[in-house]
Amino acid sequence: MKQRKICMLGTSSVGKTSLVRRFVQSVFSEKYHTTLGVKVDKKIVKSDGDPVCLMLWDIEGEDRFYRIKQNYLRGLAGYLLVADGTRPVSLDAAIRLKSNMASAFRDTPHFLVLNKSDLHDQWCLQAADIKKIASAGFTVISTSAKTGENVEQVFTKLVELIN
Amino acid sequence: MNPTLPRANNGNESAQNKSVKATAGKTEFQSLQSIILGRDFQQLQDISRQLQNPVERTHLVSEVLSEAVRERTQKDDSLAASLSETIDRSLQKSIEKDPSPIVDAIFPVIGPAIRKSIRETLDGMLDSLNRMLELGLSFRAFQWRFQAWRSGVSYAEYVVLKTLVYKVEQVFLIHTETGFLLNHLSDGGEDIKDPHIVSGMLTAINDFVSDAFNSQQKINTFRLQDMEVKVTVGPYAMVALVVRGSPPDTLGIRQQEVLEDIHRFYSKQLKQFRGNESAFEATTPYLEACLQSQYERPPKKSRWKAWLVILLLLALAGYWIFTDYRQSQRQQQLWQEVVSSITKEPGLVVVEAGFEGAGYRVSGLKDVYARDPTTFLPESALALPVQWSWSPFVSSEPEIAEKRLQKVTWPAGVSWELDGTGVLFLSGRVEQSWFDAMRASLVHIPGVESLNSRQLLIEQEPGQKLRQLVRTLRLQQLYFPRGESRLSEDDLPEIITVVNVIESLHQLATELGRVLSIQVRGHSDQVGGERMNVLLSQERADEVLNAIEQQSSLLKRTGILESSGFSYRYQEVVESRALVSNRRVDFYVIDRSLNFQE
Ligand SMILES: Nc1nc2c(ncn2[C@@H]2O[C@H](COP(=O)(O)OP(=O)(O)OP(=O)(O)O)[C@@H](O)[C@H]2O)c(=O)[nH]1
Ligand SMILES: [Mg+2]
Repeated sequence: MKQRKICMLGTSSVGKTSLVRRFVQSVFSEKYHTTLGVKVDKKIVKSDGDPVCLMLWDIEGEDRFYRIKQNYLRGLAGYLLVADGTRPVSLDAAIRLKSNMASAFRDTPHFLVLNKSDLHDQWCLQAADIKKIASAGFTVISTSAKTGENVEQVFTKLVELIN
Repeated sequence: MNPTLPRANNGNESAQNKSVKATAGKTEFQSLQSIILGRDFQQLQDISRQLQNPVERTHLVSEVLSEAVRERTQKDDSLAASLSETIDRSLQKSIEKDPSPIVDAIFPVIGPAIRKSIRETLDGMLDSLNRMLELGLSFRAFQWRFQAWRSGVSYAEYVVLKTLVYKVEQVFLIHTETGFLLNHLSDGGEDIKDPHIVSGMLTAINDFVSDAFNSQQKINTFRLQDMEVKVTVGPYAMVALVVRGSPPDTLGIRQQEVLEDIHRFYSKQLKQFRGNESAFEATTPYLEACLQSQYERPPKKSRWKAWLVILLLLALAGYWIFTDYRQSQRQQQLWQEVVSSITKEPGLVVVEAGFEGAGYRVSGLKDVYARDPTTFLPESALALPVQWSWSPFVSSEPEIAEKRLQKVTWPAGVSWELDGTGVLFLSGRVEQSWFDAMRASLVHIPGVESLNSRQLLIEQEPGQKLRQLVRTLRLQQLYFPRGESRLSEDDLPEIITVVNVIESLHQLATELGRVLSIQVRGHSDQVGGERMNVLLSQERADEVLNAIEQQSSLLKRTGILESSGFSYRYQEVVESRALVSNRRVDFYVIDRSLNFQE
């Protein structure tokens, strides 16, 4: 069975851990425990009929300088940059993160995930923000770990890109 | 090809001339070429020559072969792929031809591996035997059974808990870069969460540490309660062990060795790893070397019980073999004694003695007078039965002959003795008839070779004696020259013998109450007329009669002698002797009382 490493990146409390839990265990909790270091999880998905073992690395988001510990990224096949639609600063953080990533990961499959779509009425993204996203060349998908909207799809799409 | 310039040819030119011309032509062409092409032409020619000549071609290739191989190997694996079949086949051929070089080459690897494997198997067996003994037999075992029962866990669990020093429950082989699980082994123990996740986490933790402390140093060990995770990290893979209890340092060394081995033998697979772990299933035997465990005290100290049991068993076996051997030795010795004493025994001949089926077997010859062979069996009986098979035979051994002689009814007053050479000595007094019968029957007693009767006094019966004397007298004859009827001086001894015999006869006959008369009979040959011869015969008889009566007054007085002359005709009928013997006188005994004549 093929194994693929996928990293969850994004600043603190955007819902990385929540997305993984929704995807792997189909549960959601309002409680917030910030992740320390890395939490690794696994889910087997089908891609082109073959099972693929996805190793999901949920990496802690708290870093003021938007640096990523490069060690965590070794051997990754794809990543999700998660931002919280209710907090425009998290979008900036995502963009900063990507630009800080080593050049080796420029062409690695990835999406920009705008999470908490269930709180759409609280989203406060400006036109400038949308522009920023477009100029950074992201493919954007909005998800909700709470309702499960697009969660399955975002991972499936990423796996399709990888293979 | 020999390019030649077109030229006018004289038809009469010789072949040699032609070739000279051709060479000349070639040289011209060549010089033309070299003018046009300059120095390049020479080089071109050199190159084409080298390419066409197989020797040169080989030389060219050989110069760059190793470099080419190196370069191609660096680029991709196609060389290995295309060579592998050739190498396989040549290996096969080489082994078919003579396996010893290959055997020699791999021996240094295989030898230690086998030894190690044997040693480890033996160690394991000893350990488990020892543990079984310790736990199965000791007082502590009962204590533990009780305590296990009281605390509501199974005895097996309790024992493991109590005796475990350490046990490697899980072995992870992890790809260092991605944290992907390459292989995983577990030996019981708690159900660990998904090993893939564990392997990822272990990698992440290591990444975290090296990142946090900004060092290349990796975590070796971390503990949680009675569990320990030992990690050794290599450039491409790492080996993590989940250990219960406190492992010895040697485990870490083993772990390092395993990691190095895997890097050595799977370097290609590790370098090319793209997320597919199936290539690493074959690492299982290496990882198994890490699945170690130890219970209770260190094996060296605690093994003495196992050794003791083994030694005890060996000693028992040795004792058993020894006593059995001694027993069989003893039996063998007894048997030999029996056989040899039977062999020595007179009247018994052992033809074959040995072991057959489930017992001893003796076959041979036995005289009726021989001792019963079963009496030779020792009091401490033989362990196995004896089967006898005797054929009858007659022994001539002195001992047996003596037994035979004992069966003879000897008359009173006779004693006998048989010496070692088979001479029977008789002494005492016996009657002639018995003696004669005895002589006859001695022939039938084997072992009695001859008779010594010098000490034996043989008493003759009177009748017998009489007949003997008659027979003796009948043998006495006196011979005369032709025509003579006178005895000479030389005849006197004969006359005396005859007188003695006749006197004895007369005496015996008188004793027996017999009346005998002795006829002195004269004979003559056929020469001359019958009447003359009868007269001559009468004269001869009278001459002898007178001579006897002169010698014995007794006989003269009794007058038992009478003479008569016979004609040769009579003699012819009676005897067919030579004529000389007919000029004689012989004697006849006539028993007047019984009308007995002999
Ligand atoms: N309404 C709503 N709440 C969400 C959603 N996703 C996450 N949350 C909440 O957001 C908070 C943070 O979520 P986490 O998933 O722990 O965030 P995180 O990105 O892992 O944060 P760090 O581990 O600190 O980097 C939690 O209280 C979640 O309940 C969502 O889709 N909708
Ligand atoms: Mg988290």
